[in-house]
Formats: sequence, structure tokens, C-alpha cells
Amino acid sequence: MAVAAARPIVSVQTLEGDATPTVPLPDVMKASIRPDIVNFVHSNISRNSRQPYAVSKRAGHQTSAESWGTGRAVSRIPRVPGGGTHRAGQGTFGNMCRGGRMFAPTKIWRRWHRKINVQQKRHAVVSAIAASAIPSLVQARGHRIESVPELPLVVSDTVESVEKSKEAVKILQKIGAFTDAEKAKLSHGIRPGKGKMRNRRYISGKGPLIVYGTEGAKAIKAFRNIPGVEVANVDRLNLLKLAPGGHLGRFIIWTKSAFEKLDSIYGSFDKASEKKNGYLLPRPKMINSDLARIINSDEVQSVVRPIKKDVKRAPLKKNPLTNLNAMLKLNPYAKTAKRMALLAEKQRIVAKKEKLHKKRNIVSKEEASAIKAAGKSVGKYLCFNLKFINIYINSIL
Amino acid sequence: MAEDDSKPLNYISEVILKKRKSTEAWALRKKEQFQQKKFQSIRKPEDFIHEYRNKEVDLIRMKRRVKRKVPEANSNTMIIIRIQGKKDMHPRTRKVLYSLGLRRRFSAVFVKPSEGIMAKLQRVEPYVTYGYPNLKSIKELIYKKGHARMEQRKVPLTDNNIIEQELGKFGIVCIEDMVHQIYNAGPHFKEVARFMWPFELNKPAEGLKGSKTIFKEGGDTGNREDLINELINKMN
Repeated sequence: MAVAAARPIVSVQTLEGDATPTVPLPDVMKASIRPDIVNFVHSNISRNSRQPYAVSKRAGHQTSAESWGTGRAVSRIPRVPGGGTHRAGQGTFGNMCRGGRMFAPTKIWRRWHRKINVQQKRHAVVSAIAASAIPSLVQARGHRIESVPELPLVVSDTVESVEKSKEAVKILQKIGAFTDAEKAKLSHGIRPGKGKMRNRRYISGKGPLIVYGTEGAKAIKAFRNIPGVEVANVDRLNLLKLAPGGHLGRFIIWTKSAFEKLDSIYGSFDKASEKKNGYLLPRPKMINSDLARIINSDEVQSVVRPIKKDVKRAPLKKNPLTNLNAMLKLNPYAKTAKRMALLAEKQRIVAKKEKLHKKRNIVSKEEASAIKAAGKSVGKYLCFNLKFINIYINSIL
Repeated sequence: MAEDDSKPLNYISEVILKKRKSTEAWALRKKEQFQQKKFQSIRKPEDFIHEYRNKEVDLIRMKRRVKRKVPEANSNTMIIIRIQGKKDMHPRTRKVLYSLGLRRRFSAVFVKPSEGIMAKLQRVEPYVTYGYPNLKSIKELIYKKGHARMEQRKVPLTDNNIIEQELGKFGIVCIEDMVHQIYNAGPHFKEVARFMWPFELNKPAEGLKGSKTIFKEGGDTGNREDLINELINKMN
């Protein structure tokens, strides 16, 4: 069960009376779920109940056949001696012959069983127990738990003293678990494949698993013959029953005494188990793997620095020599200087034109003297103007 | 069919197509250059020997040059431009260049020619060229390539407020004041020159031959006097 979704208290389903006692949720229900370990350990455990088998070492060799050799227009395979029957003359010994020996006959000295690390096996059992407390996983495995009031399902210890299967069925119906048992019964069928003739003729689904805590309880005989129902002692939980086929999510019905023993049997995340020497529950790298939720929580967001919303960007540098606006920002006088330069240019053009015009026209002596006098005054004015401009520029610089 | 509205055809602008074509051509050229460069990245022992020998010779020549008379300057202001020098310099030469502020090729600084500065220039003569800038060169350089040094950061001179808040206590409030101080080697020349980040000029299209000979003898380096303005004009 995920730690974030775990409820610390579990109700005990009583069969009579309205009182609802509660028990604390053991830490084993909060362990991390490792389907890879469960699948691996289940495969290896199921191999350990195999028995050796092989073909007979005499098969295909119980005849004195010899080859006829060449010259008879038949292949050189060893042939059965004798006559009178159609067996005589038949090929034998070879693996391609009827009644012959198989290729590479199998031997009994194979690697039938597997060694499994104790720690790994315990991790697998713990994972399976934790998965059985998650309704979605149990439903995904195919169990019918719509009528079940709560998961993990804990019933009172009076169930352990039930003696009759009739009463056991009533109890299952009362807590809503009989639907799953019925489904298992209805799934009874004939096995596809050759297992039918190898003592594995019928197949059936799995129903609820009853886990009891008292040794020698009478409920064992009451429940075990109901189709689909299995029984297990809490001290000896079997992975093949907790996760049949290596698939997590078995529907488990715990008795109260069995449920209370889980803490001492499997320990917790920081206290070792009392029954399994030195065993601690496996801890995940991240207890809560919802990283986005952690980051956006109030505890984190109140500590981090607020978002920098003002972006400081350096101003783009324009070339003042070609961009007049950039130039005016740096040197407001540039406008005046440019205007004065333009005016001076215009002044020089006008002066040059007058000079040329004067040279191209022929005038009389009286007019020449008058023009000369006027020219002197004009020239003086121009000289004064240019001098003024030069003085101004030098003073600025 | 006739009732359908006529719509303009979808087209891609010719400018975009041209840009795409030139981008692809540029990418191909870049890839070829990268392949060539990868081949040339293997350095042979001869390269190392050549490099170390150049460094050694550079140091020896510097020691000889130092024994000569220190050159003199005929101006109030001088500009120094680093025009070459990379792996063929001795570390001591590079240190002198760094103390002048010339940390990269084609960088330039304004200095007031004192005896110490001229002695440094004598040491790094094969790698720099210097001369006497005129008002036009100084003005254009500061306006176009001027950057301020503020808290070890390079800030472009786009506003007079930058200058006023840094140099206002010396009475320098605008970029024209800076030009004035530089050109006339005024009383606050040092503060203004230190306030400016070294200019980063462009590689001139022509005008440099890659020679380490003195300019008066037909090379690139040394004192160009007033002809530095032509070079500045090309590199600005």
C-alpha cells in the first residue's frame, strides 16, 4: 500500500453486535511493492517442487538390428532381423525411425531446483502482503470485492472457532467475500493442452485466502473445502498463495489475531523482526514519488525565492556616427553644429557664384570703381562672419 | 464553382527563399571547415619545438631592445593598438601587454606618453603599433566603440547618465568632456582612460601585412605618428 494512501487504523468486521473494534495497520502493509522480485521468486519457488523425469535409457535400443549394407537398393539404416511379420526389415535405432531412439535422450541429472536467497524471499512475501491491501491491485487481479466493506479485510477471532462449512459459507456471505469464491467455482474447466493426460486435467481460478493466527484452529477444515477458498497460517505464509502465478493482489481475509501478529513477524522499517532474524522491511528511495506535488507544496514554496519577473537587458548600442538620434542623446550640440556647417556650406556656394559672375561680365570704369568699393565691404563682412564661426568652434572645443 | 470566392495563392516570400538558400550554403561551408579543422587539430612535435623556440627568441630580442635608448613621443596623447601576437610571445611579453590593457588582438587604448609607458612600448614593440591620434579619430572611436568599465562589466556608452554617475565628481558629465580630456591630455586623463574599456577594433581589410618590422622600415609595428589615423579609420 502506498504510504500516502495508508490509513493508520483498520476496522475489525464483527459478525454479531454493533461494536466495531479497531486494530492498527501493520508496517508491512506500507512496504514498497516490487513486482519484479515477486515474479522472480515465484518462478524459482515453483521449480523446487519438481521431480526428475527422463526417457528410458533403453528406449529404442531393445533389438538386435543390423544394417543390410549396400547392394539392396535400400538405405543403410539398421533393420530388424527375422521374418514373418511386417516388423521384420523395418528401420530402427535412428531417431528418424519409428520405434527408434530419440535424439540426445534426456537424463534425470538436470538442474531441477533453484536456490533462493532468504532475504529475497522475504522481500517477495512482504511485497505480496502490501499489494493485497490495495483495492485496485486486488481488482486488477480479477477478484470480486465490490461488496467487501474494507481492505485489508479483518474479521474477528470468532471465525477461527467455526466448525461447519455451512457456517463458513454464511460468514463469507456476510462479509461480502462469497462472490469471489463463487467466481472461482464457476471458472472450473478442463485444461487446454497435454496436461490433461499428465494428472493436471482440471483448472480453476483462485478465490479468497483465509489467514488465521491460532495454531490448530477448527476453521481450517471448515473453509478449505469450499471451492476457491484457501487457508494459511500467518506464521507460514506461502508466496505461491499470496501471489499465485507471480501476480500481485491476492484477496486476503485476515483474522484479528493473525493481523496483530504481522508486526512481530515482519517488523517495521526501523525495528527488526522478532521471528525472522534481523529482517527489516525494505525502504524505498523516495517515500512519496509524486515529485511535482512535493515541489508545489506549501512547505517548499514558502522557502524558495520568488520568481524574478523583471528582466534586465542591456540597451542596444546604436552607432552615433550614423544614427542621428543616438548622436543627439550623447551630444545635443551635434544638431547645432550640423546646421552651422550646412549654412556655412551654402554661404560658400553663394560667394563662389558671385565671384564667377563678376569675372565673366565686362563693366565700365565708373561701374568698376563702384563695384570695387561695394566688393570691399562685402568681403569684409564675409571675413568677419568666418572669423566669428571659427572663434565659436574653438571656444566650444 | 463560380460562386466560390477567389483567394490569393499561398506563397513563400522570395526573401525567405534566398535566406534559406544562403543558410544552407553557409552550413555546408561550415561543415567543410570543421572537417578540415579536425584534421589540422593534430599537432606535431615540430610545432611545439617551433613554438618554444619562438618564445625563447622573443625573450632574447626583448632583452636586447631594452638596452637601446627609450623612444620619445611628440604628442600629448597616444593610442596603442595591438596588431598581433598569440603563441609566439614569451609570457613576460604577454604580461606587459596585459598591463597596458591589450588583452586581445586589435584592441586599442589611449595613453599619456610618459617614460614608463614608452619603456613598456619598447618591450612589446613587435606586437603593437602606436601613434598620435587627431580629434576626428578620438571622437569617432569614443562615440562608436566606447564602452564603460563598471564593476568589471562592459557597459556600452548609450547615455550620458552612465558617465555622469561615474565621473561626475571630476566635473566630467558627458561624452564630449571625455573627448576633451583625451585629446588635450587634461588633468583627469587617467580617470577617463581607466573608465573606458579597451576598444575592440575590426580587422582592417588592407593595411596590415603581418610583419613585425618597424613601420618606418616598411613593416607594421612601432610608431606611426600621424599616419595612425588612417589605420584607425580602417579599423573603426
